[in-house]
Amino acid sequence: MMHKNILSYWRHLENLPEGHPDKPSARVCRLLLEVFEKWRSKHRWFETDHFGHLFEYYKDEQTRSLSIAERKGLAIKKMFEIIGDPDAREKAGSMEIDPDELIVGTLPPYSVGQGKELMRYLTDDETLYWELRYLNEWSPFGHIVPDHEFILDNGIIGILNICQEKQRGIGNLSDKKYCFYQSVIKALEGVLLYVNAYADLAEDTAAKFPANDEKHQNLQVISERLRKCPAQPCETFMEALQTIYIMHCALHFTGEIVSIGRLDQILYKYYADDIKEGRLTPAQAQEAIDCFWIKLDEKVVLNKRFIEDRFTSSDGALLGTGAASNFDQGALVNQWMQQVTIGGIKADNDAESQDATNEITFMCLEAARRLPLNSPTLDLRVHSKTDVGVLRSAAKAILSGGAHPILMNDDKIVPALHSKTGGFVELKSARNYACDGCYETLFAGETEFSFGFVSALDVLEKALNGGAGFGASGSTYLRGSKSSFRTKPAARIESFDEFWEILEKHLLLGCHKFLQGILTQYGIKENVSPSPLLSAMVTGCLEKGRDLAGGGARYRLFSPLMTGISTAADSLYIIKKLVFDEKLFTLEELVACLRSNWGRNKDVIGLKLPKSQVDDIRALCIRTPKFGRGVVEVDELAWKLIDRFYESIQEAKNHPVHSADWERLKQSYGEQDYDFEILFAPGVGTFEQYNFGGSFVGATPDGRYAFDPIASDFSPAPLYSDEQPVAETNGNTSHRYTVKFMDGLRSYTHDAVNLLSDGAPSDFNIGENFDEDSLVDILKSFAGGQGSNMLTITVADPETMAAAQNNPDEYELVRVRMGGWTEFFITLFPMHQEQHKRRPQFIS
Amino acid sequence: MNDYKTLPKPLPFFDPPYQSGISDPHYPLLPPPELEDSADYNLYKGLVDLQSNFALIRANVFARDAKELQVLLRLLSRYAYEAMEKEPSRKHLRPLEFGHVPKSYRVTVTIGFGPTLFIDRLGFDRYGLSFRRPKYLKIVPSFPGDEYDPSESVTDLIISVASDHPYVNVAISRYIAEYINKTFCKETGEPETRTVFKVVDIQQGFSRPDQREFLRFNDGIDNVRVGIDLEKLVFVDENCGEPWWCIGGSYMVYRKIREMMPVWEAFSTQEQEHSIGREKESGKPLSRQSEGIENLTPVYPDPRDASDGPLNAHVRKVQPRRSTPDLFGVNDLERRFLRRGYPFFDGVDEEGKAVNGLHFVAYMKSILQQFEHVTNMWQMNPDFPQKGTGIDALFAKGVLKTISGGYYFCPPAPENKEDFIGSGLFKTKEKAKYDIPAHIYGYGISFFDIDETILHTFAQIKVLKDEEIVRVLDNQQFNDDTLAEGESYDFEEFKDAEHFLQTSKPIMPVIRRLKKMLSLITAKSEGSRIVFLTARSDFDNKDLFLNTFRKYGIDIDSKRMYVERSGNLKAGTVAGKKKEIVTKYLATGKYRRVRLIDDNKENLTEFLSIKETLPNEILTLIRKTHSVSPDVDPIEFSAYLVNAAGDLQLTNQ
Repeated sequence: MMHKNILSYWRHLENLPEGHPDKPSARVCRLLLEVFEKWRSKHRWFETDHFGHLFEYYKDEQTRSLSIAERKGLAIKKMFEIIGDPDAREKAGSMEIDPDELIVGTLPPYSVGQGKELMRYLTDDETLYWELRYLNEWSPFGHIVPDHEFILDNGIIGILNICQEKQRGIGNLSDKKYCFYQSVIKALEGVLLYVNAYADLAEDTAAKFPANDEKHQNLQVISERLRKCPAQPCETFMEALQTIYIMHCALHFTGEIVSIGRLDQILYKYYADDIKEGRLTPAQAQEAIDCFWIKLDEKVVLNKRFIEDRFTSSDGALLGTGAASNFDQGALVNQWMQQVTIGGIKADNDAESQDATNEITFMCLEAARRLPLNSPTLDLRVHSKTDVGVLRSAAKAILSGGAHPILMNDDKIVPALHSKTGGFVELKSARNYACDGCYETLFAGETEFSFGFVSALDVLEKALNGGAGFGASGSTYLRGSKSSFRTKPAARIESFDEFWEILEKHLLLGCHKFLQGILTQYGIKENVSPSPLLSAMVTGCLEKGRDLAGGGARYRLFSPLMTGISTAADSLYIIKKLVFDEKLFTLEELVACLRSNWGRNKDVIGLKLPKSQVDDIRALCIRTPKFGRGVVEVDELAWKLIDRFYESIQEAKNHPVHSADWERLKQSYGEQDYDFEILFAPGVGTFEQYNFGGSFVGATPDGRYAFDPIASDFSPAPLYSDEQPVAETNGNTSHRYTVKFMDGLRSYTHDAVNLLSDGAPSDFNIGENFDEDSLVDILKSFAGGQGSNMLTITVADPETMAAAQNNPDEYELVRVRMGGWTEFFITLFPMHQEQHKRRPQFIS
Repeated sequence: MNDYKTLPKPLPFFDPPYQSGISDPHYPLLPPPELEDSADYNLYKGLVDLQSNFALIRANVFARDAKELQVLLRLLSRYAYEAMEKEPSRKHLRPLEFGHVPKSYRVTVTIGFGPTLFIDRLGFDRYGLSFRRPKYLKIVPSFPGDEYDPSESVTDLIISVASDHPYVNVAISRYIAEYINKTFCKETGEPETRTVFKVVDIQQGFSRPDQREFLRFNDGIDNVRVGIDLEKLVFVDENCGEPWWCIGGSYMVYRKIREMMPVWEAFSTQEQEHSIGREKESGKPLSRQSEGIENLTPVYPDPRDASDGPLNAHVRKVQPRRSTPDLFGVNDLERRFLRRGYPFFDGVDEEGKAVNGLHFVAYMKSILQQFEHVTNMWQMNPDFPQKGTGIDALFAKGVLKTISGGYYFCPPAPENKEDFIGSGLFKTKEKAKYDIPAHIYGYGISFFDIDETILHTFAQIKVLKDEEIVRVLDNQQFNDDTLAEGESYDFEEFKDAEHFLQTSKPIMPVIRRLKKMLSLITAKSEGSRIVFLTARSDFDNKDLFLNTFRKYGIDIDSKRMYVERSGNLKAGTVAGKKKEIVTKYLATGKYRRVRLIDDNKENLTEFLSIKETLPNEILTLIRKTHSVSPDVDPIEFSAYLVNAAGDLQLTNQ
């Protein structure tokens, strides 16, 4: 059941009989009530620059002369010491315990949009040097899946032992690898300070209650648990869950905004053992999972007035861009990259894959269904043999309005990850993929990751406009801004095939540029913003003695992501059909329309058409079928584009123009036992940047005006900005742009999707009264191979979204799928809200 | 003519911990001697006795910073106590009327803070105090029946004035409105034109001796009572998870509720009783069963059974009295709060209709779990207790409308004369005192034994004779053991770092003391040091040994912390070796305080003997290093004996 506000949620629960599946335990309700209250207020936290600089605490020359890695490790340790200070706890709320909690820890409010507070450690000269390169202490990217199992199995002490053993083998204190291990040791020591401070706090809080009080006993147990774990290996379900959470908090404290990984697989052995030994009941496990879910969502900001902006020029810098970060903050306020991946197949090398679903899978789905949260975002892996019970649970969770779980098809993604990334990938790793901060598919706990964009619309514009974009034509520039080869003007292009050849040329250049950025800048972040704590939780780093940002991980997986495919396919179909097949207007005339932004811009270079003719051409373009409705003629152009995109990546990767860079990287980061390799996993995605992505793209042949948003990820284009999403007929409202869901899925069913190993999410919106059985049938079809390799579904009528804009307090729980997570609609900035309202609605 | 017994009026309390005017004046639990045999006293015991006149002053603050805010609050607090403690004047009265003036007008002045004192409407932390905002203090959300904009109605402060004389209320209110700002300017040297404190409005109300208000029903007939249930429902305690300065304070919910008399009076008595859920005349509930004092408390065996009164009747909607805990695990009766309402009459509106109603004033320890739960989940929930019930009949029928209101937090009373109401907001949380004697300055050094002091360890000592093991000892046994002739100890297991790491158990009280000490000397005493002084010799793996300390969050890598292994010294007893190491440190002349924390009495005794044998040149060096005058002891020794539970006992003798 979908709830649009917190009050209606509680009222629904109030009337339910005891034992109803919608009703969490009393403890969970109490915790949720407190968390909701926090969402409406300004969160306490450290003031800007509270942590200061490492040299303020260590004034000696010896500290100044330490390597960057060692300073970073020491800064992390000092930061954890400050976090545990009683004054900081009161003023910043850096450590809080609710006596009802089963899992303790405090997640810092470091969303991608709001930025972070970290301790600085660079000298002034270093700061200047790196600022010129758009990097600083805030640049760790996070955005990967840490290896929690490694901590659960070894404990921090076990990892310290490994590092110390390695150091003994090196001996030389200034050796780069020695320094790396030292940075890891210091960072882990900091975590132990933090964990023990929490154990102290739990003990102190327990003392406020009488010894026979349940809260006293609970807090004592928590304190003792923290004294043991994560220092030592975990033995029980609760130890494992607590360890995952406290390590997750610790990572976020260090600016590594990361996801959780395959939670059901990680926890299952502890769960099974505890059940067998009678230490745990399924109900207790579900309650603990519910508590875990709530802990991950404590820092929601519902009211825009309470948003903090801690962002710097280079927060979470994307490798290879060479520019300031400036993510789309207004869309990322509550995005902490907390993906939980469940289901799918087991991670092994057996010939036959085995379904990995277990009891924890269902518990996660249940938490996602009945707790109206936005985070963690649940990612459900499915395949042709996935039990329908899982799909039924998923359908119920989706219909509860949380815009998750999203579904991912293992039958498509695992083979692509195994064999389509251009390098060696062990089958077991491919089968063990999990979502990073958004939806990207990484080998869990083994992967360094980054991504970059290749814009399909940029390529389209340049093919139409002789290597120039349309965006600023007639204002700043003449025919537009130039950033590619000069190619034939539209008037001289004689056929669609010729046009396509030109487009391919620009596309290949776009892929080369992506590659060039990665190859010339790889490893640079190790020298300014290494990741010692996260490196301790990524396979390969400790073995090699290398930081995650410097070739440490077992795999480096970089994703070129194509954007704007639906608008590009719609436009290509117009060029093919209306221009070259039916000859309703010429390509030059179409270009004239686009340069004038469909008649809105009067200063046009070259051919200028009367406004009436422009309007007529636009009307024809608007009426032409579009991608995402099951129209094969349009859809096949999207697939052709993707095929060529994949080929262009391979071609660029093997082109001699990059040989020198490849050689340099192999020399710098290769090891005797480990070849240096970068895997490329193409995908389709915009994340939250469907507005930003459209903001520098000129008018497009499909009828879209210049700078208007494009579609999110791999979705059909939204309604035009001059159209209202809701039509009213005889007092009844209906969505102006509806598509049958199965028609929509058909548009994505093609072999080309099997090339997109990083994922190609198709974002669908459905109405609030969508039938559960119909949705189960759709999910079955998806698991059976229909559709793209990822499916996301948002439940919200455009009328609801409009009402939420006018009266946010009544719609605080309306949630929508962003590019890679769930966000509260009322927190989104207005342009994002408008784009969501104009998405097509899929009907059964 | 009846010979009425009269119950004396209770007086207000001005002493901490609670602010006056919340739970006082109230009747004591026990009746006065003359009424001991009176069953009527049950109607009074523990009940708050409202003064007859009420004024509610809402004001905003324009202080530039927290310092100015403190000055203003101190001023308000000072005036509040002056007003409360002032005795009624008999000046200008004619002699035969002296007796008409009571000994006290029972004045209470209660100050509350609004949410905008902490964070303004735009989210700005006005005085850097938002981290101490009471956690449920916010702008009131909208509820059904509201006819006002809560964000327009919110104020920084609220001052509730109550007394038994209307003029007393007027005088106090007028002073606050006209003189507080002037006094602030005068006392701070600010120009008189400056506005730091501005009263927004003053609401007035009254009470009747029979507790009835305009609807002719007794309001608060079943209120909470002091000494029975009031304190635990009204005042914030240390387990509420509130900022520490809030303990002893109380949230105040204010709602100005207009009562539409023409609507109400058009109902028959039965319709009115069904709307309220009580009999009009007797106040008794409509339920088939009742209980409690004078049977005024309804019993609802089935919350969905209308045989006990209409389900949307006011009393059923605001307190269903279910027998089992709700979905939060809370019993309905724990949602109650103290109601301290006063009727008001504001004349007529522009249509000539009387504007009257109730100043609903309620005190509680949690707005979220009490007032908001009652209002949202029961009273205004159209589907409670079952689908289709509708909201509270009084609001549903248009009898009641809320026309103003706000949430406030009333801090505890000042603890002493130097404090003021809300002074805790500005205080640094009290920390454990640093108990260094005042006459001692300079640096200190603390030696901590490890085995059975910091950690319970399980390495065993073998006693050998003629290369044969004759017995095996644990730590405790070793402390009491004496070697026979020809016997020797084998400490080999004490070198096993892996064993040490895997088997040691922390003695948390000592570890926590150690960590606090390290934190203190790191921040405040750069020359002080902590030394782990163990009887063991070197371990076979230093890293594993040190990891044992790291495991429990002990910053063993701190430059202020060392490890000394007296077992590495060749000759002497354990106590003697430890003494030798301590003496080595003292010989540097750097330390004026020296402590040993150990589980072994012999070690401590030997340690204390150092002072007697410390060479004069060391004492001279200490005096010189720290410029110690001849009449002051240059060094202080403290020996602490640790027991198995981690308790420390000072044993300086």
